[in-house]
Amino acid sequence: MPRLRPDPVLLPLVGALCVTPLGFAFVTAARNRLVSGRPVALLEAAEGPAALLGLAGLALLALAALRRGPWLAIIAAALLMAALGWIAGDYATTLSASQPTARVSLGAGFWLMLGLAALCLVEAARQTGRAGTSLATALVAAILALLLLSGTLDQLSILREYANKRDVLGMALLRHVEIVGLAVLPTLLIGIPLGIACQRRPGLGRLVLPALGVVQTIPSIALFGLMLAPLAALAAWQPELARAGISGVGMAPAVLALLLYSLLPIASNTAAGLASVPEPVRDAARGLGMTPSQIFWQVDLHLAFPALLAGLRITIVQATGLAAVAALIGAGGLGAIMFDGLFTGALDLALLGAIPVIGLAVLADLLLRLASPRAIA
Amino acid sequence: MIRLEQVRRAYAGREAVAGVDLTVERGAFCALIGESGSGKSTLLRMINRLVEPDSGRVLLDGEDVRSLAPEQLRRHIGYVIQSVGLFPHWTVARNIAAVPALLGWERPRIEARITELMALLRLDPRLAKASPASLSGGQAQRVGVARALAADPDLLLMDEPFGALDPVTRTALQTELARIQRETGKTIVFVTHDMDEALRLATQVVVLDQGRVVQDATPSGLLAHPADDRVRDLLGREDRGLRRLALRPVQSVMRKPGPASAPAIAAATDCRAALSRMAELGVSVLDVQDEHGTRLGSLHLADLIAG
Amino acid sequence: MIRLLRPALWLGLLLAATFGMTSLRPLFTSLFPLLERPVYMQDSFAALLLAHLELVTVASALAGLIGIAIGIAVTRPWGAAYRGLAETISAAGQTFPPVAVLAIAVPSMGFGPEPAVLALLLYGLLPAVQNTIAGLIQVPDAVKDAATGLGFGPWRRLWQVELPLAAPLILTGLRVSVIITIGTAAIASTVGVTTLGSPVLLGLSAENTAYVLQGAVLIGLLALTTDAVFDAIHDMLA
Repeated sequence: MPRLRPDPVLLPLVGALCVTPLGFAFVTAARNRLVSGRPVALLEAAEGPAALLGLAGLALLALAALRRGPWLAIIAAALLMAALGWIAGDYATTLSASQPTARVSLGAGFWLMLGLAALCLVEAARQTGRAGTSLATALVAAILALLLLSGTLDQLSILREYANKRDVLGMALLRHVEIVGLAVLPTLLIGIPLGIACQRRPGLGRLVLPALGVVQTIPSIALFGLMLAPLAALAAWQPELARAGISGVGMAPAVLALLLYSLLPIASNTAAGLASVPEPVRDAARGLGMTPSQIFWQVDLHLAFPALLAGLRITIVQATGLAAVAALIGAGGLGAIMFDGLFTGALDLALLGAIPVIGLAVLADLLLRLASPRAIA
Repeated sequence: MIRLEQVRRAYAGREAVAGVDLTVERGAFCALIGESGSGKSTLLRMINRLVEPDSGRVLLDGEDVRSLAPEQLRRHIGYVIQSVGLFPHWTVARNIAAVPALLGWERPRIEARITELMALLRLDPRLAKASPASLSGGQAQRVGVARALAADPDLLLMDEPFGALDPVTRTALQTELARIQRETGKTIVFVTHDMDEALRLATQVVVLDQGRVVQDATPSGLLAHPADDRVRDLLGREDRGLRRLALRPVQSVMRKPGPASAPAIAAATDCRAALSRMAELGVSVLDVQDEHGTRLGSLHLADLIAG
Repeated sequence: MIRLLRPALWLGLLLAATFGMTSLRPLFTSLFPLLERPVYMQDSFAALLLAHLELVTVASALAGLIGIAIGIAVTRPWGAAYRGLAETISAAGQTFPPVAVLAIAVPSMGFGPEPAVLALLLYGLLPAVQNTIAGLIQVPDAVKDAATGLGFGPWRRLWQVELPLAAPLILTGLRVSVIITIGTAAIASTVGVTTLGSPVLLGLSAENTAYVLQGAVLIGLLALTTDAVFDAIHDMLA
């Protein structure tokens, strides 16, 4: 009998995984798309090989938690996540075979269990370091791809919404990226020189950076609203501008507001990056005979680059979320689908809009983190 | 080589340098010494125009430094600072190559120079690709000195280059610097607040206080005739005699070898160490020997004290 | 006194705008001559402000308390095992846009103020936890050693040494948390909660720009007032 060494983090998570199905509906089943559904417990929904896989995953996870096997925990948690999707998908498939208009939505129990399994995965990956993180990421991607491509999940309400809205979703995604791109590019062109100026003239920095901070403080919905009236007035006053697409609603106020929001992280990170260049390094550079422009291009900019990239990452992640709110002023994008779902009570449609927003933000975060050079120790 | 004429510089109404005249000859090793705030760093930084004097002139080989573009001037003067200031995003090799690259040297010439300098500074060639962050304090300052010497400048300015190092590393680097100065004949102007360092390395010691030159003398001149109490304080009143002894090798005061053999001492020893040895052994005569053990002469306590 | 001037000024503006908005009817009539009802009348602006404040206060207070407690727990020796997990979640969670979190929380919890509070709370936790951890771990080991050496017990050391030194960073975390909550609460009107966001949303769907403006101005002023209050507290701590 091997010695038990319970993992203090994984064990309570496994415990929570065991009790969650007792308190929360795993899925909800409704007669059609717009009425609210009847809660269905996990034990009622689970059957066949999917249920066995889930049991196996949970048992292995418990074993890993008791004996400190992070690698086993990664695999077990991934299996459990796959089983959760499979069970929900199977239930939806069975139900819709008898009732074609019936809708099966994922319930609080599903999301909680998925979240707990994901936490186990994250913790185990953290314990194993870089290799474990790569394995966990690859497993999750593979499971998601397998579940989606095999059609297991096709009868779930959210995927039926997707089937109806496939083209719209594609367009919305493009539009979303377009809004973020149109806002971030000019921000870089303005924000970087502004940050340099703020660092060179501390007086200017003390004036500009707090002002941009105030803009960041104003909630997005308010700033969009405040853009609306002046731009509408501008368009009414100069009809050519209106014909060029400038109006109180749509892309123009959205892009303008996002630009204003994005200036702070770009400008302040540029300034902070430049300020972090050690004074002895600059002194040595001057003493060796570098010209001010050589010092700027060869020393300052290189050393400020990681901070600048971090600013860009914050900006893009932030703008991706804010662009969703911009749908309220008619800018379109994924937010339009999300709010459409919220307003009409088609909650799976809301999810269909929200999940890609999160996906985009996480993806941008990940890519820019990978792109950033290792911090200079 | 260097002439400063009545240079002054004030910061916020306080005179950091208050009218200094100074001449440093070619090949000299000049130490600027004083308390912090005595104006020694400001004076040093005037030579390569990192600080411009409010009035007065700085002449380099008879030419006013203001007639030269500051960057061009600095590329032909080596510069080393206490905090080293290596470029953290460049490798050791690229740091050393900084000035040659600025001067547009050919690639092979730069490579050859890097190898040569790493050998001169006794740096492991494998460090060439290392990042400055991975170096010890002593290694980093060796790289700093190599970087300053890269374009083979006639003049080297050093601002407390060894101040941040531990005593053992500091002594090792002082020895290296003395050797390099002997081998290359560079003119070195060196800021320090460590009198032992100044006496050990310099041929000319300039004592500064509140932006003025208090005394400008050779190390033995300084010890023999301190200009006033401030210099005496810097020299350490009680140790002054010992410090004078430390400047003198035993060979300069030994007599012909005596008939009886006495405890031995190496010829390279200075008089202070010899005195210490006598006190330790309770004797008044020592035999001076070379590295092969040949007796070169005998050292008598009376001669040490008579100086 | 000077440091209280700025929050007092913003608060004055906020209250004046809240209670004086209806008296500005002639202004809105002249700005938007085509609108039949140029001032939002469904609820009084004071009621909207109160409802908004209630939502934000409940969510932020819970988020702050729980967040600080978690932050303290995972920096104690007995909770150290959970610190990695707490840091990973709070860092990763902040990549999730708050609107999307709201949109995901509602389907699984239903419409109404409770899911809104829960979504706001969960999101508001992240900066509170993150900054509490950051604030507590940046207390120099030498200071903690000295406190222990002088005979401070673990809780006294936490209360008298670590927390005061961590306070500025914790406060920053709370400020971020509250400001995000104010904005997200306004969007919670889309899930059927009455807040200052209600006039904005009604205005957008009914093409009544005056409503949008009225709601937007009040939300903006509320955020700026709150920010100024945090600034003043920060100055007092310093």
